[in-house]
Amino acid sequence: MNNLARMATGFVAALLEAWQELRIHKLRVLLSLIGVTIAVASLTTAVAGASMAKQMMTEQLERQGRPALISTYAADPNGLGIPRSSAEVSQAFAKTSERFNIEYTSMIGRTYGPQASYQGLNAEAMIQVVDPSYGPMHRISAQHGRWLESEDAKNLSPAVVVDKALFTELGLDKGSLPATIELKSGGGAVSVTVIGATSTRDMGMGGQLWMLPQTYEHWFASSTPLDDVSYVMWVPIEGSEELAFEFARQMRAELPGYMVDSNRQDYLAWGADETLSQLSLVVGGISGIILLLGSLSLLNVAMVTMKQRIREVGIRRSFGATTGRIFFSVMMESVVATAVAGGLGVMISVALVTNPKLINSVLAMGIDDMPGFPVDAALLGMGVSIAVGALTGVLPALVAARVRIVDAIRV
Amino acid sequence: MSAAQLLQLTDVTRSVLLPDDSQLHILNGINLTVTEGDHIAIVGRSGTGKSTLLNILGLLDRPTSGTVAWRGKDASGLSARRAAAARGRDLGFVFQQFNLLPGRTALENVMAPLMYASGRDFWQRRKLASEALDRVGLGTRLDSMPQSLSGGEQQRVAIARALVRRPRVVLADEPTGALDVSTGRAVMELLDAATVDSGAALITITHDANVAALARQQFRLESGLLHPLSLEVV
Repeated sequence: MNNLARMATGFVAALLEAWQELRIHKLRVLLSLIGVTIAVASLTTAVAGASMAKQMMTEQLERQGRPALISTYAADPNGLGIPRSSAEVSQAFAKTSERFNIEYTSMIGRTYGPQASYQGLNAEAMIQVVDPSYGPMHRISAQHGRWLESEDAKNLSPAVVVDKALFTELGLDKGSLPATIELKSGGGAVSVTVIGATSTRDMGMGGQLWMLPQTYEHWFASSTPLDDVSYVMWVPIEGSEELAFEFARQMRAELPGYMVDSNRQDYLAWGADETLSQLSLVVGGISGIILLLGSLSLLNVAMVTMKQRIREVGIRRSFGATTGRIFFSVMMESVVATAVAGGLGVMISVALVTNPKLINSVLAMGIDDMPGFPVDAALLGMGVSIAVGALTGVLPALVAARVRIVDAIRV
Repeated sequence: MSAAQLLQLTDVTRSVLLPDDSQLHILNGINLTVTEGDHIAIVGRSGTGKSTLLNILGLLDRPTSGTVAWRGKDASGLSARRAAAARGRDLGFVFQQFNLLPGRTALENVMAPLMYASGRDFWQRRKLASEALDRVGLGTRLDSMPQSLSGGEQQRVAIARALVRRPRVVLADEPTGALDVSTGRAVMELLDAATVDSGAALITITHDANVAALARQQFRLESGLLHPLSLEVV
């Protein structure tokens, strides 16, 4: 216990000595650490930026369907091969997915061109006909109000959820929900209730709204039948290819004469994540080179300074400083200095990466949900700076520890 | 009750190898006993080995032959770590050029040895250093930088620093060498009084007979040997 207390005191004292030394030589330390600060800031920014971009891209891609998403088309040969909505297909899909015990399934049908109106404002919208599970399967949730539920099928006023683009174009706001809007489709106009709005928008596309298949069937199907109907299910990635194959086979058995196709439709199936990994590697490599150059400059300054501090080392040895303590103190000076520089670098990085204006101007796209700064990037920045401090501190520490006291005092 | 023996040098020699491979014999058989409360002066001309002897007494250097006993135990068997611990705990140094740490205030300089202490001495280093500076009359100059202090004041800071860990032996190497006569005398009187107060032994290396005369035992170092002297203050 006594030894432990002595060691703890020694550690605290070495840290204090290192801090005192840095305080005294702040200008020299500041100049020598500029390189390290810049290197850590760029390294952290590269890692954090790549990680955040990856997260944003993943979220964006997952709005097209979270892995593994199997899409099933069933085309009636009498319908020119176009997969239209039919109760027969829906039942076959429901029966087959129940047989495979699949929890998340949804129909997807689209209609383009309806006009939405609210208090004199008009906007063109795409209707997506989906089941409630479509939300979690596509990482879509309501930012205001709520997402669709099965019970909404029983509503006398058709329930819809709009995206951010339509929400904005119609001049809706959080307080106005639920709001009644007009939806003109196929010549007729239907009043629908907006029960929720998502934070998402389709880049480069107009607004869109979602409603349940039963709602569409009741209010719109007679005037505008659904085109391009498919069925999706969200399943574990492992074994998904085999499942898709088997699912299609069973669907074909349920729908004789139909052309049935089931396959993976999520981004992992077409390798969209590889580009980002390569970008991270390139930026990380460049930052590594900057870090190496910064470390060399730091080492150079530390070695020159140590030559001028030989007498000081001798004086400290006369106070009872052991070789180990001198080594540790000198190394800690470097570690504390680079830790401070690293902390500064990480703060610069956080300020850069979490600035929405800067990110939007660099990525040239509007990001609605700014992801948080990745903690692992900050930890990496701090870890790298401390490691650089320890590595560049070893050489001057060795020089200091090898000083002969008698010679040092006479310098 | 007799005073405890602190240091005993027996037939200590020290030689160094010169670039031409010949041996330079600096000390040729030193015998010296230092007990608690002693005030010993060692005088000698430049180059006679005074600093070499002080380094051996301060456990900074080892003899070529002979024994150095520290509190009755052979110091040659002390590991570098234990020697450093003994130096920090029981020995205080006062140098000719003051050797104050640059860029640090008087208080920080006196606190410096306490950074190698543990327990109360470490955690109360500011208080202990302030008290030590107060004792040497610099209680109002705690935050002064060395360059803003006179030579005499700098040496008083060095004395406070040497005494702050309450050492058993204070080794002063030409403590007045960089001071004028009157300041040097005042500094020596302070050093003598401070060590008497603390009960520490004081060993002064000097070439100034007047400084040596303040000591209760005096030796002349000549030809690598110590010869007893009897000097009186002029």
